[in-house]
Amino acid sequence: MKVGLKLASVCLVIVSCISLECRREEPRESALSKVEYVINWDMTAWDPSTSYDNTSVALSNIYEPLLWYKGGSSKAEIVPALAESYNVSKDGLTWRFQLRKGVKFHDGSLFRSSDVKASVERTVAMNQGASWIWKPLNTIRIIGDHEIEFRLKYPAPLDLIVSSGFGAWITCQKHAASRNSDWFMKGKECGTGPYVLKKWEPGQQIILEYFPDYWRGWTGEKFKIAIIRTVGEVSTQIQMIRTGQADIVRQVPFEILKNMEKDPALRVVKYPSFESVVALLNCRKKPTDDRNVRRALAYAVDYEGIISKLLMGYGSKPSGPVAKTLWGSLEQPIPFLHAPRVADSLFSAAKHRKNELSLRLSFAAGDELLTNIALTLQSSLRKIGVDLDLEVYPWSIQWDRAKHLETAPNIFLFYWWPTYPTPYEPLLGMFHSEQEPVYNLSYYSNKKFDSLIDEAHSITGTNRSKAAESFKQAQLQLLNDLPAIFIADLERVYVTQRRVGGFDPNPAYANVVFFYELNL
Amino acid sequence: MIRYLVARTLLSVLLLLLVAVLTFVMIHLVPGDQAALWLGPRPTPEQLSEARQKLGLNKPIYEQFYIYLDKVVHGDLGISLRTKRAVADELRERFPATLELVSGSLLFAVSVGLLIGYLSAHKRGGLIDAISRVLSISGVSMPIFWLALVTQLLFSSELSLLPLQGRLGDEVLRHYPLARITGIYTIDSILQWNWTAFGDVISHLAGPVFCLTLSSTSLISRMFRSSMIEALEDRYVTALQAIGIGRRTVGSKFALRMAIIPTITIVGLTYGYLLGGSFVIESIFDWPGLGKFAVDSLLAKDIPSVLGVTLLYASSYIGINLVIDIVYGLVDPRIVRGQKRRIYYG
Repeated sequence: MKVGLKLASVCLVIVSCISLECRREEPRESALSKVEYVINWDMTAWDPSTSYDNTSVALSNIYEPLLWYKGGSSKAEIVPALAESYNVSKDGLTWRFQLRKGVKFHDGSLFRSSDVKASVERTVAMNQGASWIWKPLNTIRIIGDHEIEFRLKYPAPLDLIVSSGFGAWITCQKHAASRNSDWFMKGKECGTGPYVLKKWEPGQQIILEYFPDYWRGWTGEKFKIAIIRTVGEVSTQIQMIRTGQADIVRQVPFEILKNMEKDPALRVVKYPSFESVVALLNCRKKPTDDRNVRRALAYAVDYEGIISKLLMGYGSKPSGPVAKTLWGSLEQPIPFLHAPRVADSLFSAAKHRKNELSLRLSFAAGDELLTNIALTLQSSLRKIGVDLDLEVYPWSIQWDRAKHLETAPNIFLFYWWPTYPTPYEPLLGMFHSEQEPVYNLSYYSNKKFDSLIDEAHSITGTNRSKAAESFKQAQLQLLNDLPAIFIADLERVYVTQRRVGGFDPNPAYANVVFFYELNL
Repeated sequence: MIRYLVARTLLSVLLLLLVAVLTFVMIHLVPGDQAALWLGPRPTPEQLSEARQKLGLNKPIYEQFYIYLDKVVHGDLGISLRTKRAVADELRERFPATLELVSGSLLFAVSVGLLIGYLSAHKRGGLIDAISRVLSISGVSMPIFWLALVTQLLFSSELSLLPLQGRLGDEVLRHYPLARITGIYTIDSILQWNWTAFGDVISHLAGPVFCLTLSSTSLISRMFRSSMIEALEDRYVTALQAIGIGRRTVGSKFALRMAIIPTITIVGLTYGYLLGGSFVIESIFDWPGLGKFAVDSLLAKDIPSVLGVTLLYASSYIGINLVIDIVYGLVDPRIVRGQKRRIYYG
């Protein structure tokens, strides 16, 4: 046994030495030349045509679209990316883009209009992910090596579509020829962006390394290495940012953010996102088919309480279904206040007896904010004698049950964010008439509303201010009919080390950190 | 022995089939649209219809199961609806990480547990026994998630001795890359004589293994201590000592062999416990193994992935128990022959 003891001691000493040795080892380059962003999801969807999830955090640094939508702290505008300029015909059906010259893909090949054609046609043909954004597309015609023309079936805002964070990335023609994802899903890429995918460790981290031939060049103190690390536990993320092991984190709970704002080594960066919390009210299911019940519910929500206590001020009262930061939104906040007495009298005015009212609300499991909002609403309703049953499911189940009227809840609580920056998307997705509901889970149908938003969408590319007016009218119609309660517009918050400068989050590309824009 | 092995293997195959049927039926009872999962957040009705056709979701469930089983037999576990990658590839990449974690923990639990158990039995009532008792009770009592968080806080954040999370540091990944041979990084780093990577792997492994194994080590040490004391008090030990064989020799050569049999049973159960515990540990330490993959797949109702993980877990659990049965047979051949164990001293 003495031998055993000695052996165990030797093992312990070796492990300790190795551990200490590892820590002593000098990194080959200065830690200052790399930046580390910690997220809490795994990135697996590497195909730029089909990817429709948070892998966009990496793809946005590897690939580029034709145009970027610039939001954030600056005035919203569309800025050139792979296209230097564009023009649109008066009828909004023909869009011609002049492409940038001298751009290289990561494999060394030169960027041409044939790459754009091949990339978009591949996305359309694969018919997955956000490929639906190209629904208005009819044909693509190559005018020259660096000029391309898109013909549409009906007028649509192609400038916004090509700036989408999903389904609009341009890859090289060589790899766009294939109609399956096999090559990309091995963690390979062929983009023109500032970073090359150097290493992908599933479930752990990805390492991006700067692309020396990037068309915008590498002047100034930019980060040459960017690491995106997957860390599931919020407590671990907090330890990492506090001990300097991470440079940027995004999932810090609101109550901890308040403390971090006082930390001199850290900077809390908040920005108004395009994301909002919405409670869809089922217009075909009793008792929420009664407009008085829906209005009563709108007055039962404690908007201020949710914003000040649950969101700790990192949110604001919405103006409607379109987030206030997005063009085409209403100027004034929704005309509802937390008024339990009004709610009480409206419930009484409804055709149902209050004690016979039975309401069901569903939300996705594991989301703390939605859970607390649901509990707050339940408590508010209980005070006026209305019972609200809460149903918690994994998202896929919550959604599936809501799509069938017999299992659908009265209130469907969830988040909405637009795929590309247009008011049309939330209005179309949540409220346009549908034969079989996909996201119109309020089962709302109003022909006047439908034609208003369809018409606005068709002129978005040619007359945006007129389109915005029509979108606003459509939203006023919704506020009258109340197929949903618009609970809060969310602010998104990052915590960064102070040494990281130039960080200006863009709400059009949720969760994305554009590493090229950062500096020391 | 061969007949015994063949019978056990056939039983294992039947068991796997049963597991596959049960999992398939259970997961299909849960509502959720697989086509929507395949397509992403906002599919159009046309996309949904096309995806259902492509994935064969319009077919009756029994037909879907038959097609699935046929593919499994041919080594195809399907495509993950969530990650869009072949499930076999996902398992191939992630299983070695879990295997490394669980096997490392098992090795630690068995070697340290047996050592402590042996010493406690020999020094019964002494200082070592008292300390081991306190440590064992503490080890079993501490919830695994709490222990993991405290370990991170203490050894990583405060003392900076161990990495907070992950399996390999980015410095090693970039400057001392490790080619994938077995996927078990400790073995791969040794095979490639990459000692920097080896050190990094061990330091990443230390925290999760410690947390995962503390409870099992305690259990094995207490179990082995009891068995050893029982064996040392048996009459044949007195007889052996009476004919002049020293107490230490009796302990290490005769009593040890008798005491080890019940402990082997515990080792089998421990393996199952470690596999289950790895779900929690992998989540907290961001260990890229099967645990987190399984949870995410289950929540998303990613049927091919859930079935793949279940079959793999079931196979490995059945496999380790088969190995234990064989070890039983080697340690005590009467078990294979179906004889009673205490026949000689009843």
